[in-house]
Amino acid sequence: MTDRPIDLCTANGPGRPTGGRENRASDGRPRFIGYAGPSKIYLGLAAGLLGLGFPLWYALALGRPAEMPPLEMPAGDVRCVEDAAYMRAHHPRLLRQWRDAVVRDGLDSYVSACDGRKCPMSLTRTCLACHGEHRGFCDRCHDYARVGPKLDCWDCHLDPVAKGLSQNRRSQVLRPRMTELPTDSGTGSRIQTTLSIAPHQP
Amino acid sequence: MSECRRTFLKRAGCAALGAGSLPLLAAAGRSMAEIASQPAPAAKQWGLVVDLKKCRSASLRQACIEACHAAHNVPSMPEPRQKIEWIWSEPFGAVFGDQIHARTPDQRKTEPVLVLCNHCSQPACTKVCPTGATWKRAADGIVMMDMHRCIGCRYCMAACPYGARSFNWQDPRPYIANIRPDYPTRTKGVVEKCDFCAERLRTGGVPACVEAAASVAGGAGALTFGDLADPQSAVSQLLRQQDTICRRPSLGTGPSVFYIL
Amino acid sequence: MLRSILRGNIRFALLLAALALVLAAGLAAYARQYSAGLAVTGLGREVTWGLYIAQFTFLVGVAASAVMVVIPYYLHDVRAFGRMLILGESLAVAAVTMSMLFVFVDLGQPRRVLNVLLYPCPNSLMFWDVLALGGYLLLNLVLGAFSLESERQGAPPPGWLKACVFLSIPWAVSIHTVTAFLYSGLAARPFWLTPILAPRFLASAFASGPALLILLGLILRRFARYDPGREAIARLATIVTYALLVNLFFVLVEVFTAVYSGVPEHRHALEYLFLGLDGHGPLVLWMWASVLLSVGSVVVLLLPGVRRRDGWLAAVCVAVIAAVWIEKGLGMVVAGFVPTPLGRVPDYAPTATEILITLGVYALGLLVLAVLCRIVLEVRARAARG
Repeated sequence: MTDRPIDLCTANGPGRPTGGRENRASDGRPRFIGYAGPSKIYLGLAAGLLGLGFPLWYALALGRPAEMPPLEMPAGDVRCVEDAAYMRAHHPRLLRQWRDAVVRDGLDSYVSACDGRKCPMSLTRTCLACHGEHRGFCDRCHDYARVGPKLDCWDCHLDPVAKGLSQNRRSQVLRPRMTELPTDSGTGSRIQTTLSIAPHQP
Repeated sequence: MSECRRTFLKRAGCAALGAGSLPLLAAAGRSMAEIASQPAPAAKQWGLVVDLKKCRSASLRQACIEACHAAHNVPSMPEPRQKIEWIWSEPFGAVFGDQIHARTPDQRKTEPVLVLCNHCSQPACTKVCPTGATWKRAADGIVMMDMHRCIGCRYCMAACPYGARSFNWQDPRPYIANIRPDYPTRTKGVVEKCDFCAERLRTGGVPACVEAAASVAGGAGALTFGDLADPQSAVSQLLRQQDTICRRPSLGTGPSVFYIL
Repeated sequence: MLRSILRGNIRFALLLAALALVLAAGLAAYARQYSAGLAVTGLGREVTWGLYIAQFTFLVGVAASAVMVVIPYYLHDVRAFGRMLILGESLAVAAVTMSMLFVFVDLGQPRRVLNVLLYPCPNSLMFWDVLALGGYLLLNLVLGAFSLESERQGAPPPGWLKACVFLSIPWAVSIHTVTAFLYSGLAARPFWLTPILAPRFLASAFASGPALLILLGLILRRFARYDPGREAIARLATIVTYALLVNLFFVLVEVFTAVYSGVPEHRHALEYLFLGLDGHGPLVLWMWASVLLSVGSVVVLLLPGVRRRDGWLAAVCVAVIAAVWIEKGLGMVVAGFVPTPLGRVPDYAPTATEILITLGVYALGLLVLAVLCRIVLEVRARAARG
């Protein structure tokens, strides 16, 4: 091989045969260093699939269904902002909508799509007002389902129960429960204060 | 063998790159569409007028700073270079470096001035933010921060000509004496600053510093808050009647915080 | 190919192992920074960018300088750069990788880095810089890989590759220009707010990058029996000389404007760098060393008898790289924050953790460079064997 570099300016490399492959043995067969025959390929494929399928076949053969840990549900007769099935399926979307509505659009309250009740879009004041400590509800289910790296909501948002606040202080913090909410406090602020999300259809 | 492996690796790499970039492209498209559909700018511009004479009272400044920092869970960092401040006090000579000269009396140079984010009409910080984590809110002109989106690159801190932005060099929680549970703290690695108490404005209140100043004896009128776009507002009237200055007007940022000399 | 990289050469294996060791130390330091936050660095609310962003700036220059081999070869038909070309591309790949990593380790919330692409903000230069750097990395990877592949197969390179070559030329200029705009567009920082920043960045890059390439060539000639050619090295030395001269000229232009006009805010940062301001002058010795190294290098490079000797040339190249590294990798970024908008003169010194992370990123870059060079040598050696 010449020590000249490959040349993009001329049509062919300088002093190079055109189009010929040099990686050929004298008899013209491709000279691969080692060629895996079909049997090896299938063996490899099988091993790969076996490895990839580990969670499946292990669960089928030896696994027992993991116990769903009991979630700490709100005491008394309370309804969530949307019905349970919707919340189970779409709470990440709802929380993201709330987050962007409050932080980015300056909106304040949410009108439930299932019964028209109104509540502030607040993780601490609305969600935790009923659910109490996040460890017994959010974390427990997320741990069970192994979703997400870690719930980092609580790096910033406060969990009044986990903070060990007294019952008295808690009720101060968690003041605005849904039913007690006054309707829109017309303040002259031009920011629209309500977010309504189109009713979801089952 | 090596031939096969290389081809395989190449194809796998391209496939991974392609598959990985699809959701990115989709999301980028969505947010581009969002940018395109932004509402018309500034119907309103919140602004603040600070009366320097009334702010000579140390207890008044203290009240303002404490009220703000308590309301927003602002930590007291022990290391000075990691300090986090939304509103604080600086000597006149430092704040208005271009307003003093060789014969300015020391008394004036050292006079304490309350400083905070200027909520500029042409903010330098929002222009440079690579993620839209800080932006000028069209509805009321507040320069907002989205702590959920901030990647902590601190470009906004380099761009702000007022030093009004603070960064969480570490988890701030251990340094907040009394955590107020209904306002979030911040996580390490994000930038924060004054947002004119957007959460209080939403329910018809005034910023915590303004309320605190008014509650101190002799503090009435020390801080006046209102809509700069409304000619009848208290701030607009003050700006017409009084001699006021603002910080570094030559930079073209258009601050919304003014000072009565 | 992958196997043959690791096989055979004990010295090369030792080099890789040493680099891997430094990289591991850097990773451990980064783990500490990741969990504790950027408080482990010497940065603060006044000097918000430091060692990391300065390295980023320096390395973008190194990456852009590949264009100094591409332009002569493709536009002026300087055949002598044939064996240097792929080294330039490899260096560019390694340098862009490092510069992107330096931005990454500087982030407070590294897990959210994709927000830059998820919420694109065309008004931010940072967004354009990410696009420019990512595109440049891809371009150089494609260029290097495909030209090497066709060389290996003895076939002419695909026609579209030439389009990539021509695209890579303005692209290289753009990465360093956009990086300069990142700084020079900030009204808050008078030291950076100068139109000459981008030209200055390019001039210093075209000095330090080719100097690094010469060093690489000399090292490969000595230890890997790969000779990039005497003429290529001599021509690169010429490029280094004139780029360095232009850079010195640009610096003088800046110093003149600041000193003669006497405007305090333009003067202060320079005073801080070269004389010390309010008793703070941590970089004074460094900056004068940089000046001496630059001027000394120019003088030596202009003496033909001296620059033709490998030993001297290597020493000069080290001096040039050191001079530019001090200028950009130490002085440029930090001085932009001094004095602060409130008139203070803050102190900044990188911590051990910060330095370890920096070394780790450099180790990773050198690892990439070493492996790429090894692939190039291997392909060419095999081709030479027939």
